[in-house]
Amino acid sequence: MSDLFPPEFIAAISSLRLRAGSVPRGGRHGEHGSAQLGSGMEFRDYRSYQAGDDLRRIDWNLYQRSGSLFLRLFEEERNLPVNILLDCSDSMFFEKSPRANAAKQAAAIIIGAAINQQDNPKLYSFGKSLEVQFPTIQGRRAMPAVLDRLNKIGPSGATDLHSVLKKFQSFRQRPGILVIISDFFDEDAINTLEKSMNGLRHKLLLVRVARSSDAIPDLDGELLVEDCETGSGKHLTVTPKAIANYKKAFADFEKKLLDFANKRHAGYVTLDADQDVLKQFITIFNDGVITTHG
Amino acid sequence: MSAGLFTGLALLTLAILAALQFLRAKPEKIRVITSMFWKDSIKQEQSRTLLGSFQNPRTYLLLAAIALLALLALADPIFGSKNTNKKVIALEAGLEMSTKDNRFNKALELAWDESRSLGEANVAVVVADPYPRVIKHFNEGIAILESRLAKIKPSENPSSRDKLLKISKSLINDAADSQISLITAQSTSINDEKITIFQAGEQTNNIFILSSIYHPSATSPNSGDLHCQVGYTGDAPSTFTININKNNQSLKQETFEIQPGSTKSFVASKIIADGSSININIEGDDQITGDNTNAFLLPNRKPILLIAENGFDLPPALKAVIESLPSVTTQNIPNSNQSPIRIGPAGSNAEIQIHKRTTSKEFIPVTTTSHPAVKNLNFEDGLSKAPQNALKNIADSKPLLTANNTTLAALNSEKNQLHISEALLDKDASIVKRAAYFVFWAKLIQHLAGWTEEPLTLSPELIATNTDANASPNVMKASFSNFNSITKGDTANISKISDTRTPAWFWLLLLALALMITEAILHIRRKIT
Repeated sequence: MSDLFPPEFIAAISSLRLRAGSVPRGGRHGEHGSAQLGSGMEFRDYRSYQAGDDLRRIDWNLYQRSGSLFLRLFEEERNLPVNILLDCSDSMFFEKSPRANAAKQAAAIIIGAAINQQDNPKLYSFGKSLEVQFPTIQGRRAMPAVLDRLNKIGPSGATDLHSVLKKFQSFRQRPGILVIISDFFDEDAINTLEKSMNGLRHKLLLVRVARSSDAIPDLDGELLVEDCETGSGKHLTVTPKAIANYKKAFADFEKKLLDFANKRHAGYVTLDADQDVLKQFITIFNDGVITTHG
Repeated sequence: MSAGLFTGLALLTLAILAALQFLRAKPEKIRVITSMFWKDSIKQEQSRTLLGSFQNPRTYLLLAAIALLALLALADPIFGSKNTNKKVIALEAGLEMSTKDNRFNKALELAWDESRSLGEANVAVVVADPYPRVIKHFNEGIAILESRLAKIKPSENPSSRDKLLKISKSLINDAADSQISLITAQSTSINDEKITIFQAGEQTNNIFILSSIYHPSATSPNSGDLHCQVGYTGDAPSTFTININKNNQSLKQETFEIQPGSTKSFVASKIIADGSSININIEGDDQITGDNTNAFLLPNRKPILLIAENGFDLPPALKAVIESLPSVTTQNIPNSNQSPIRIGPAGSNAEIQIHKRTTSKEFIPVTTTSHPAVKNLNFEDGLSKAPQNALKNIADSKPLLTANNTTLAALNSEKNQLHISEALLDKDASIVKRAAYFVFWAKLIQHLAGWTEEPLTLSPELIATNTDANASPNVMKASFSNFNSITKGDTANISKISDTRTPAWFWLLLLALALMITEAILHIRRKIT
């Protein structure tokens, strides 16, 4: 397909699954158990036969033993709405090896996993504003188009998470999983998340695309530091004290993000943009981190 | 501190700070993925700007120290200047120390010993060789004194004790417990409890000329009186002879007896100021002969006789000149047909010839030639009456003033004759009252009379004498003014000129400057913000 999505990558994601604790009512048939009882494979309970019930669900063995008609009830399997918000702000494309590549791969993996279990993934990209890339992705046949679109997505300005989530909220989506793949380099990101998520009933998964150099900056001397998104230049002298300040600010940022995820019972994943994204995801899947809580 | 020096130091500071600013590393422009983690450091960086507040207490301390030092420097402080228990050592290093008995070395030893009698901060040393100068101020180290004393040599002229003591007193500033130690070669007594006299070497018999002044007479400016004062140091009264000669002709010869430590005055009256040389000499049993001779030139004040034609009405400018020059006398020649005005002493051929010419009433500008008598005069006002033709019969004369290519005045230096057109004397030509005409007449009359520009004289301090009494004295030009006296201002000037100590304000300002540069360096190196 491309360097970003080689065939082995595409082949690998076809075997991935996404697990959710429970799925809200509504939606199409899928692989996730739901509170709704119906025609699934997983046995849940018995109840007395009532007129009009499907005769195929009567447990004839029990009738033999008890002489009463009972219906076998199964957990109905529903599809899961998976909303993927992919950060395509300038910072994601800034570096020589853009961390947007890792983010796109992560999005492809999650979409692939969702399609595998007949979930309902939707792809959005955001920077300054929210763009709907795929309102709905159904079946594996849609995957090439998705990957092609992912390939083509480019930088879209500075991050404005507040207006992005506000717009997403206005879509009034059926509750499901909201996956935000981003570097979260927005000074107000965590506050915005806290405020915006109060109005959203989605289960949240934060995928932070990071690099080891984020924690330890490789800068020194007299600098005129220009933010790649805001473009504002500020005079900065990198001294040991300045480095210490940076490290403290970075540690605070990570802690706040983790605290927020714990508080919201959200999944929180950190991807190293310089490592194989697929391997990292497989590890995460095995560890069950990607599992969202009901 | 002078304004110039202050400005210079301020500019120097600015230049150094500007250099530091230029030498500092230029910031490298770099784009980062986010600046959000640098926020605190950037905020601190912004506080380093001119209008931002400082964050480091050391910055405030340094600034306070700089301000304090600058203010102290402006106050021009003198550290340890309390004039309590101070001592000034006044060392006479004049001709009287130039004896063969090595008394000057003894005087230096005395000065050195006295200097160490108090703490070095309380001793100042003034040397008169022959002019007094401070060679060590209070607060200067004793090592400086040692090296400076080593450079002192006795002068060939008598030292001025009056000036020496005046400067010494100005240094102690009349403080109650201050003392002056006068180190001298002469046996003398001074009725001043603040002054202690130390005599270097054995007592010498020395007659010396204290002063000799020519005073012009107020009533007869071409003559005056010569006043001479002599002094004597010795162990017993002695007899000497004074000779006052004019052009090697004796004006006065007098034998006198004088007591040790006393002075005696002599006057030679009515000496004509004709530029002759005056020589004063004292003979007798004297161990130091270099101060027995004095010589100078009298000013040249030849009388001017102005003989005017009877009834000739002199122009106002010429009259004004005559009135302002007391040695000019006029003489009318009754019923004379002489046209010249004769000027100069009896027998002099200096004269002013007036050339009568017809005139016309028209205004013409007057221009001057390059002759020294008129070259700087401005006759731009011109004449209101113009002569019709130029002067005649003025061969060998150099024109002085011209108008419309017509010579108005010409000078024959060989014959000492001034030729002028009558138009220049016209009393109705009010223009001649103007300053340029006044100066013209004054200069020309002085020129014709042969007056020199400056009177000549000299004082004992300004005469260059030889210690060898047989050698003829050199003669120098000098002025009557301020002779043998020193004013308060002079004292201050002498003290200032001879003050080699670097003032406190300089060091304070230098320290402030160093601190300012240190702060700039620390600031650039981010040690302070």
